[in-house]
Amino acid sequence: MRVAIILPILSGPGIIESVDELRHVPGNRVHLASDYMALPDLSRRYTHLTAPNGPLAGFLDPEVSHYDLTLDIAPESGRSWELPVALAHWCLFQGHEIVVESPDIAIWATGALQSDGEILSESYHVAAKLASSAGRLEALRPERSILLLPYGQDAYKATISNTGEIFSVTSLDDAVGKLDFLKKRPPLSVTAPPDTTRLASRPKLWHVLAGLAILALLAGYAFLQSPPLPDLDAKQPARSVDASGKPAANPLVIEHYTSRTTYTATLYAVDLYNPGVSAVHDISLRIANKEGLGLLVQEGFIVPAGARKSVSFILYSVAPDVDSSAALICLSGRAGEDAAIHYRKTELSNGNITALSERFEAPYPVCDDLDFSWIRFPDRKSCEATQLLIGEIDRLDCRGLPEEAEPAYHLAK
Amino acid sequence: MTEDDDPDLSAFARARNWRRLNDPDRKPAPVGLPFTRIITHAERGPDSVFDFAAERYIRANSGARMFYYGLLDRIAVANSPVARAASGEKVTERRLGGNVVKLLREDSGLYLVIEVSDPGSSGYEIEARDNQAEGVRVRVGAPIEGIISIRIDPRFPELEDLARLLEDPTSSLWLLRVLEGA
Repeated sequence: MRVAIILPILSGPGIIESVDELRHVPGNRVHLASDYMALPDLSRRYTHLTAPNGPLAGFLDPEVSHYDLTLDIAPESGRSWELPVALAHWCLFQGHEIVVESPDIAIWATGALQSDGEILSESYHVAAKLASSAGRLEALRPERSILLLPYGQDAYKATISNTGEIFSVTSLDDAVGKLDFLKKRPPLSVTAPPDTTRLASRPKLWHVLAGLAILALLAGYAFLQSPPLPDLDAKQPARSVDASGKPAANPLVIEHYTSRTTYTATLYAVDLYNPGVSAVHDISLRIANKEGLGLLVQEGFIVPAGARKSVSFILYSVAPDVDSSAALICLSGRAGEDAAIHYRKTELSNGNITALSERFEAPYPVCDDLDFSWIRFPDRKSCEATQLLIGEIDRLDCRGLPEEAEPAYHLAK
Repeated sequence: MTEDDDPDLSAFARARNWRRLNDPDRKPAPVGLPFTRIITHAERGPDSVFDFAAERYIRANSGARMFYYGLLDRIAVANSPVARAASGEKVTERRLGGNVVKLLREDSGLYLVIEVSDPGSSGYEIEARDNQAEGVRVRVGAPIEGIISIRIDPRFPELEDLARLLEDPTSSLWLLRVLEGA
């Protein structure tokens, strides 16, 4: 069937022009039909949506690495475009064609998706969007119109009762349930089966896997004005290695969905429970902030056990509204599963540590058992910042360190 | 080792440039154009007024061309004077310092992919010139996770020109940084 997906945004009725599969080109991209350059913020968020553990995971072709999404109008803010884009992917998965004219079905949907596919509960300005897009919906002259309103926006049903079939939905699953007549195939299983061979041969390694990321000394007021350039070690793209020593296909990338500030830091990865073991571990993880959305690792990655300074990665600012921040991320997981995450952050203002420390609970309390004694801090400030991060998990000895060292990164001129 | 630090390729590019300078068939150059115009032309931003006179001068005058190329070498993030490929062979990948420029074919069309070694948020332009100094400078935007990818959309002729030049192993490439908002 020919399906048109309306992208209702406040500035006007948008439409999804195309979703193209990329089998060779790296990276996801969102761009306007009127411009060839990708829209960075939308592209980054689109990467989260289409990540292997993202909300669309069940209906993405596993052989397709990335996607090229073309819109006719860019959403000026917000993430309500995510549900219609997700539905476009679902329609493609079901073998339908995305079109911009003469559709059999027109779908109008708005909603921001959480990583588990739930629609965020927030104000979506549904009345204004309906008013701005009613004309376009009518002009498409579809045989059937489906309007999917976020749950709680039912008050608008009465005003648009003659526009099409109207449903309230709470999640992506709920939304595709309303489009059951378009369904031709079930979603794919998104959980990879465990590697039983490796489990059998090295059971302990898979039971307790620890990686440790310390982003110490992300202090520096210039971070907010200009993102730092990578340090020399990070000039090569971040690569993990697999058992054969060859670079893995995808580097570890941790992103925060709202910030454009990038850091390059070093992931100190060590199997704290099995020091000296030279095995490798597959980790696929998702890090949720308190809204359940934020930091999301888009690909699985492999960390050589025992390595302490082997993987570099890009972290998007965890606290763009403060002078600087540092984050502790404890990783734990088994092959094919999401990792358990403990996440904390500290903030520094005018060189002083402000005692904000947040902790987001995760299924596996791994951080509490970690040993931080092997970390070499460049100065007392970074040591104390890390101490604040880790709290009672461990007691660091910050005595004897210089007050403040030259940062290991280069600030953008 | 990349093209721009390969001594053999650099020597080849210098020899080629010397031949260009001594080409008896070259068009007569317009006279009287100050070199400051060439400098301004080399340093132009994406929204600058395009100096057609300077462009004609560069194409017609070998000395002005070499001066312009020298300026680009200095202001560019990286450059590649010539591709590591046999003459006449189409290339789909060029290395510019630590940056890699590729042309990749997808079902939906041809894509320009630039793997940028500096994942900073600044945008980039790429300039390509063939043996006759015919060329194009195209804004390619900021990298996303270290990657710039652009579909070679026929609605944008400059992209098709760029793709053609990228496939030409004798063309020279410069990767230029653009300040955000410029």
